[in-house]
Amino acid sequence: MKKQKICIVDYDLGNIFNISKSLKKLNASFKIVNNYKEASNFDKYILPGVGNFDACMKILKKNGLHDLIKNEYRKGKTIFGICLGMQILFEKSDESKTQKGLNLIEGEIKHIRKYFEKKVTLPHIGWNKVNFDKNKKLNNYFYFANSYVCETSSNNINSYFELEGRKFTASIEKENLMGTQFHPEISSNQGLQIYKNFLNL
Amino acid sequence: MSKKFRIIPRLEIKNNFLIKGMYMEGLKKIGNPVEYACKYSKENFHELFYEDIVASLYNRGLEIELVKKISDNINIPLTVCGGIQNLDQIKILFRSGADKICINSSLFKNLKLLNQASKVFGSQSVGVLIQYKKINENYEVFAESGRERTRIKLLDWINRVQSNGAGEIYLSSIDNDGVEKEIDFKILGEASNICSVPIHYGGNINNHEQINLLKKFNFSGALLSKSLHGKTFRTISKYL
Repeated sequence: MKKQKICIVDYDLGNIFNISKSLKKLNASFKIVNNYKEASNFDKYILPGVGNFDACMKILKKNGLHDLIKNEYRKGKTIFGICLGMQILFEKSDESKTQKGLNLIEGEIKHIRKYFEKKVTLPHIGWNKVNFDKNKKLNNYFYFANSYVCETSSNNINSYFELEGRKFTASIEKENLMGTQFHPEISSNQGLQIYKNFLNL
Repeated sequence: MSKKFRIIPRLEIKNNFLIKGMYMEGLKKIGNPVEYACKYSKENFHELFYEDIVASLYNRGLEIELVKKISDNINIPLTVCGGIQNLDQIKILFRSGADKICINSSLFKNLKLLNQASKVFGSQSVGVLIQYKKINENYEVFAESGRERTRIKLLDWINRVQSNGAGEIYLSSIDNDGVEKEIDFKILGEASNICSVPIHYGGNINNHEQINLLKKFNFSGALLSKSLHGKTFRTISKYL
């Protein structure tokens, strides 16, 4: 079998270094790409996740990656979004008044504060327990760093985390889309397993 | 609580060496920071706090190659602190394996940097290190690893950095740095009370009672250096 090629989409803000590190460990063949000309013809795409929704969408539009990701998705390529990279797959976000998301999956991104009346410590940073619906073997602590969460149909959700007694989406899966709100690349060996599963899809 | 209280090894770096001082002075060489970072990552500590203690004083950037080397050898989050003065440096750090950055001394001249950084990179990746010391009956904030007195009161500074976009706060007590001296939990409780972002404490943490008190006061984590490097906190693994 031909070795699969992975594209890490670089929008200048992401945590490219750590994602590359995880892929290197798994001997995956990958390329970091910051413009649409070089970004076609990959088997799978990773959308990294540090930064602001608004800034990220503007950069994707500016360098032509916005349409490219949508097209590759339609062709059936696997798209893996991490943290902000997952959030931009949705329709829209509280984090931007002017920029819509890629709209590949129904749902929207909300600020965590909206779910609580009392004071909660935010951003939500640190190791939190993730419970998977089906693949219980993956249940473990993963590293989060977010103030926003996604709200989508329960069919799309494949794991949850809890904050102050309330359940939130930790990861999603729909057709050829996958996404994690946590950062598998800095979540020790359990995080590496998530990348392994992505490569095996 | 499903979320873990974070135990954070603090790696103080000077000229590529891991060091530890007393009252942020009298520095002693401990060893190769990469080896310690690697060991702490393998032992499942929750994140690493890298602190270049002279970058700001000497007015030079961080040792990017060392940050890369450390990041390459760990699979837990890395916070990098020391000498950060502008957005370009922060961008380079994120591209060199830092997951979060932390700013201290330059904020006393340019608080706007905090605002800008958290707008561009998201507040979850921008923290503030606050070094403080008791002067008469007040807690005051210091810059440049405890060398420079700012005359700003601790709680005032916490409020100011929070309203300017700090995503996390790391308190570091100069009076307790590297010395076994009782920690003033009263001021820590007051600090935590006015905090809506995660807050951490470092300075002479070496036993369970102290960690339990920090948890009780709603701290999100503890920075540990001497008690880990010197292995005096033997039963730390129960928190990991």
